[in-house]
Amino acid sequence: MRLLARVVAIVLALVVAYYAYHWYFPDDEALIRARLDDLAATVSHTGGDGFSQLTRAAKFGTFFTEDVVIEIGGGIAPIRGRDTVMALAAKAQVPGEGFTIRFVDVTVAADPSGLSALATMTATAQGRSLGDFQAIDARELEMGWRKVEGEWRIDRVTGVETIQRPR
Amino acid sequence: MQSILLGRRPRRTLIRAAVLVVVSAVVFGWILIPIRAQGISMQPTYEPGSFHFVNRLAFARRAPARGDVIGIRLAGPGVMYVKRIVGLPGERVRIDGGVVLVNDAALDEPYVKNRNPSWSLPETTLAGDEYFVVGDNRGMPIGQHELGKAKRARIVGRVVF
Repeated sequence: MRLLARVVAIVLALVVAYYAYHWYFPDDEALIRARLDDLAATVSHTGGDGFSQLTRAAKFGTFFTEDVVIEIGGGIAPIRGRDTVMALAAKAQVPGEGFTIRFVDVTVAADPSGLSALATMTATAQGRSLGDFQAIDARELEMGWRKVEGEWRIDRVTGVETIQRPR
Repeated sequence: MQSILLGRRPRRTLIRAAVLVVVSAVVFGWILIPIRAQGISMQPTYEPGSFHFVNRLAFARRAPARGDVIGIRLAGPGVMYVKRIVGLPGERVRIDGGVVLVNDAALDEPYVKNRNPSWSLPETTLAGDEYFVVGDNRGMPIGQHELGKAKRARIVGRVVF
């Protein structure tokens, strides 16, 4: 019984040590996932005045490289450059009660060099329009990441056409 | 107290409970995937907020067929499109005046209750691994409706219940 208790204590200590190590020294995948959570929180909008939108747009820009290219597809023209992204974010018309962005089914593959990574995910946008009706959209995205001055930033966003509409 | 909770044979009760947990985990984790409908593209067949299951084994013995309502995965299983198959591999599909035409023949769709005559899509020929999918709500603007070709590899299963 004493031996069993020791084994259980050792295993528990190893598990705690493992999670503590990854908490204090997160790998690139964990860092990118944390950045994505932060991006979703920044982009999600709960309403508010124009000043808060400008502040949000400024923070939004910190997630991207200067030469970022965003190609969502669906007939929408590509957006090139961080300055353009921030300008569009500052001017964006937001529905009255805001919306919530989530990144689901995130997969991150970091390059062995530790300087670039590719993430795939489903981005969902849920907003409230009339009464309880929840408008929702979901898009599959591919994001290219690059480490700039020690910080992971997005240099490419490409929309994946899950269902291909004939044109 | 023990006999109330575990019965006269606690070991058998615990084994049965463990088997139930494992079977439930396998069935609802791998075979019947619970989903909650969001959005209006499958109205009136599926209302927003309704619960259903996607049977991942539905196409283990047969190929997806016309009329099947299927789950189509995006980046992973957490979010799926729910659409109905109207075109099969190799067929030519187009939409004209709100009517789906397959190989130039109008498709009989009794599940469509509201048809927008402005719906129009150019003809497309489906490859060997493609299905044409569309929601049942044909009254909404076509620009807001996800429809078109879906790869077989993206089809998770058939919506049941």
